[in-house]
Amino acid sequence: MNQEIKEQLSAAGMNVEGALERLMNNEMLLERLLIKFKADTNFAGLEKALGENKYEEAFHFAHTLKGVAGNLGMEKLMDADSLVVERLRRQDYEGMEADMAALQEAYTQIMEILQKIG
Amino acid sequence: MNRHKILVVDDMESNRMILAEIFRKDYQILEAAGTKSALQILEQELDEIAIVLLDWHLSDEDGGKVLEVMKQKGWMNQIPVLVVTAEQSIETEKKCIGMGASDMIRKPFDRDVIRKRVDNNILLYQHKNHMEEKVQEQNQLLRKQYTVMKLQAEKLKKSSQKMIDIVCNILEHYYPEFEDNTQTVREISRIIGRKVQAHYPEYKLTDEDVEAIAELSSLRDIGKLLISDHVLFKPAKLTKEENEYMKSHTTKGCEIMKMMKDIQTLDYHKKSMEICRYHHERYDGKGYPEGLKGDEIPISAQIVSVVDAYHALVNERIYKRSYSKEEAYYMILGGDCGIFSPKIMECFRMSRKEIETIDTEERKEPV
Repeated sequence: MNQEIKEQLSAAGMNVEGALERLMNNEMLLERLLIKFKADTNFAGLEKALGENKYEEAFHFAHTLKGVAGNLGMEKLMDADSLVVERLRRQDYEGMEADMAALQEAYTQIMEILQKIG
Repeated sequence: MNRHKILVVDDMESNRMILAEIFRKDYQILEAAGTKSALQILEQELDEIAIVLLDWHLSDEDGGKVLEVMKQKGWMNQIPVLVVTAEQSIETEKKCIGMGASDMIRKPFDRDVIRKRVDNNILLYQHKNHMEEKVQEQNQLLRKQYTVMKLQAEKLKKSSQKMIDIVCNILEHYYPEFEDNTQTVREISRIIGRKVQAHYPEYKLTDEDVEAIAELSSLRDIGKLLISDHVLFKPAKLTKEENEYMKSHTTKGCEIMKMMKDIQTLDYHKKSMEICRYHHERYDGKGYPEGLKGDEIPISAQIVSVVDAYHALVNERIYKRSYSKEEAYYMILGGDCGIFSPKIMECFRMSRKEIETIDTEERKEPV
């Protein structure tokens, strides 16, 4: 993983340094985890569950995504996802679309960069 | 016990990988993706797992299930559980801790903080387990020592009983007055002692007390061994001086019992002293050697005093004929032998039939 990608990830709201520190500065491992993240289905699951009004399922996907994103230092993504998680916890579905749009944006931004690795 | 493994329970592989990376230098990492496999691993590696890192949002079942089973099986006492969760709410924290988790860490966690917390929890449990083992060891030791002590007390009791029997046997052999003494007096004392125990709980007599009093009753006159034969066997009325000298068999008895102190249990010794010294005291204070009144006289001596008086009446003495059991019974009640406590008299009355049917011949045991 080169410097350029790291900078792009930082710009997309990822705390690369923090993630590396958590991983005992093992860059290889971070790269492996990022590649795994590309295949992660939690975001897709969240969208699908919301589309079918399966809110409990949606909460679970959103919650898991939050944990993974958090551990990988994807702070912007995690923050956007947190709003969705809390909204689902409150069962307050008004305004969900706006929150989901923000989450979608953060997610896509990261994913586009991740396409360049692995 | 060497606990060198960490069990990481999380349904997301990447989460497990991160924790594994942080701890693999110091611990062997075991991974479980779900509740079922987590519990399986726990069961197999129970003695080698130092801590469980538990994700609170497992997809198959709540992490609560792991806590619940661990608590049920008593594993929580041996292994700390640290909950790792993306959950921010204080409710979840309360719930985890309430279910027995040792600590909680929020995702994303700081590497150094989680390491420190894990170390702290492991250390705490090591201390705790170590202390528990120590306490258990000590308990076992104490229990062992207690058993030995009980055995020794039992032995001491037995040998002091044996001693008493030997002394009584010698007394019976050398002094005609003591003939038929030991077993009959013991039996009458036992009968009256049981009545006191049953009807007058204020004296707090236990079965063992009654048995001890019965046993020791035969020693009441042991002080007579120190009384000169010419007084003890004088076939005529004693002079005033001789009578006073004769009375000293009570205190002389105590002197002999003092010599036996070390071969008696504390309780036996105390009762022996009471019986020897006070078995001639009377309820109205007109007895000897101290002139004690009422319940100043120990209950052991109160019981033996009436038995002693009764037994002297029904046997022939060098200075008197023997009375019939009926005569003796009424003489005691009539106060011919001094005043006894009304409670003891009540017990004596209740015991009449039992006392009169004691078969002295059969009671004599070979020693």
